[in-house]
Amino acid sequence: MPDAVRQNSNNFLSNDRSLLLRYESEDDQSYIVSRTDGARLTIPKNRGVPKPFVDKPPQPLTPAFRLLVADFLGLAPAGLGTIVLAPLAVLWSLAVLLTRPLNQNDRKRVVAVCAIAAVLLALAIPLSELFLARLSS
Amino acid sequence: MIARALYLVAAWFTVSMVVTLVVGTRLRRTHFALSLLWLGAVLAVGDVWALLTFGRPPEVITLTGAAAILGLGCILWLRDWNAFGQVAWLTTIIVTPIFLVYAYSVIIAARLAPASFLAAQMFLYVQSVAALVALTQMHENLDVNCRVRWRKRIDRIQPAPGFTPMISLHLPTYDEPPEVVEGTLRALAALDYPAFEVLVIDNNTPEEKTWRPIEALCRELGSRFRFFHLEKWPGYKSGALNFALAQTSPSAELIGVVDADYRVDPKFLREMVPAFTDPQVAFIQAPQDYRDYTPGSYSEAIYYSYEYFFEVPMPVRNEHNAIIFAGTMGLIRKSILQEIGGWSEWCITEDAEASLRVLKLGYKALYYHRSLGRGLMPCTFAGLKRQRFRWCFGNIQILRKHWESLMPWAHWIDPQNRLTQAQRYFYLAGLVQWFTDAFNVAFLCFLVAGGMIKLYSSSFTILPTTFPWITLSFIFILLNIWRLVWVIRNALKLSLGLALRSLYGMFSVGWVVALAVFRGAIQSKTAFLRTPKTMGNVRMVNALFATQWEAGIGLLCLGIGAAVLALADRSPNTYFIGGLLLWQSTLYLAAPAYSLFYKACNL
Repeated sequence: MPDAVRQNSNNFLSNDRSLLLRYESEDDQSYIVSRTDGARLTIPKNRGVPKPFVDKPPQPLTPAFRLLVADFLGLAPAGLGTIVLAPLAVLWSLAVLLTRPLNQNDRKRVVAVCAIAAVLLALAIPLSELFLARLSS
Repeated sequence: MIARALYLVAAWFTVSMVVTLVVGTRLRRTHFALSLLWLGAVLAVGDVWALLTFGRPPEVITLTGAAAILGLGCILWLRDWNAFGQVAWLTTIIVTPIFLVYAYSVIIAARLAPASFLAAQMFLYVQSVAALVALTQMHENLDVNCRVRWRKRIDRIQPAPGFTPMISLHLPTYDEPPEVVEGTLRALAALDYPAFEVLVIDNNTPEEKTWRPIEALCRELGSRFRFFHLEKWPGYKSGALNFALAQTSPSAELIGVVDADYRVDPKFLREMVPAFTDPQVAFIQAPQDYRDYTPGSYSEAIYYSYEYFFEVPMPVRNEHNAIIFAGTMGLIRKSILQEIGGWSEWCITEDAEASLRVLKLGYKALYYHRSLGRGLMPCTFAGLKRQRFRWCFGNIQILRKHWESLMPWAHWIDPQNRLTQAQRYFYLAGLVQWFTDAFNVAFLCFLVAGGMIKLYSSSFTILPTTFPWITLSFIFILLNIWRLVWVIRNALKLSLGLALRSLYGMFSVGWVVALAVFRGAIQSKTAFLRTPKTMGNVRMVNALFATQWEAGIGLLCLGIGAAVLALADRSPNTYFIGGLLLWQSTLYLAAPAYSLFYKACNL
């Protein structure tokens, strides 16, 4: 096998049909594999895809959105969960707004969190009020 | 007043639905005057009945006026539906909120103890969310059966002589029986298309004797076929497909994914490729079809439950450029797949996930309504359950990851999200419909609790059921089942018996779907469960063991239901709870029955 081909990062484009790969080891950047003819190859982990899809790092408002989901579920026990969690979601998003530099999209997310929490709270208040009235009677 | 309003709108709903279910598919034209006439007739029938029963003309006139205005809106909005579908949808969207408001008003008015009040609230919460999901299913069903004009349906693609872009077909395999892959590769070798390559990526197959014959066959089939064996390769199927993407011929413009068990039609590429003459088209999907089922058997019923997706949701979603890329039997533009960064390795339904990211960029997707290849159904019911678990779990992963971009305000928050409102609706509806079986499990818990309360004559009440509540719930459940049979019969052109067996085929995997929903809600990742293509151990005891939970739940429902009917007081509530428990038992006991008799392939 010519050296030029061995050093080519895209060895798999070779037409040799007998090339079969076997995993040997890996590091942060690449896999080391061996071929049936004994050659060892270094294959970049990004495997040549120009822009690999990577998980976004957690967004600053992710906890607020999780609280919002919990708010929605909190409507089930007579709105009691929402009564507790909706203000927390609002406070969290406002705290993020005041303490961290946010881009335009995240600022809009803060508005969305506050608006949805307010709607859920408006639904939860009468439900929990009715429940508490029964509890006290 | 709410009870009278509910009776009136329920009368409209019942009349319009019954007529739609009986003759709704026969009217193959749409006309504004005809729609108005049918709307007027339905409203008039309900009004006359309500006036004769309750009197109260002002209430009837007010409600009828509101319904007429809303009905006019429906007729103008749903111009491609026939009159039956338009009016059925109108009455559905009226009766649902009024029924929920009535149910809430009953529990508020009743003097319930705090614990009962809490239980009733929880029941109605589940019912409200389930009703929203049921509305999306109703819309989809009416759309497919009452639509008279398909604006984007593609049964044939205009050939484009001379347009033959290079295509790279990717065939990921993992521990597949060589004889199955051989059939797939030989079918690919017979493709009637001048420029294509086939990359077989065998990842993590433990036994060398399994993949060596495939490697040898690739060598035999010529230079178009390239074989890669990867060991300890991460990312499951998407990892293999990303590897293939990197090894794809630089001249390839399109990527096709073919599962290891698919026998493609020689015209597969020739027929679908001309769709890409439109540079905005990112991907095209043909139906996934299956072979090796025996007519008249349980496998035939399961076959049609698979067909359902490609005959009901996909054509409907295609009208709104909101289909999913379902992997096998699909072609996707390589440049766009690279633009989105390849297949997501965190998701076990990477194909559907990729299609959402593609549509977010504003590209077009097409559904080609013609079967061009057939694969194998899972050989056993246990395999079917594994496959359904993977599909459901993967969709919950997508929902968790992308829910924000499917919200009505998503474009306001992220202007780069180019999904239209319709695309967001159909993706969200498609994802939340997986929750239906989880809601059913929740209802079952309430029913079992209700049955036990009946048996022990406890003072604890879950829901203060009234006569209207029981009557209308019964009517709604009945119409709902009838509607499901109606849509299966008409969309898939089946006999009543086969439609019922297919419906029960869907019900039989309800428990595993519910489990996948619960697991997906608390767990972000899981292993990719490969669908086995061999029979494995098919002894009767194994078939029953694979469905032990469903059998246990079914028998529990059967026992409690029978006990309630035999021992509890003779009230409508008793018959309602007992009857529902018996019906629920049939849904769960369908699983062991199908597991015993289902056999798809002969490997």
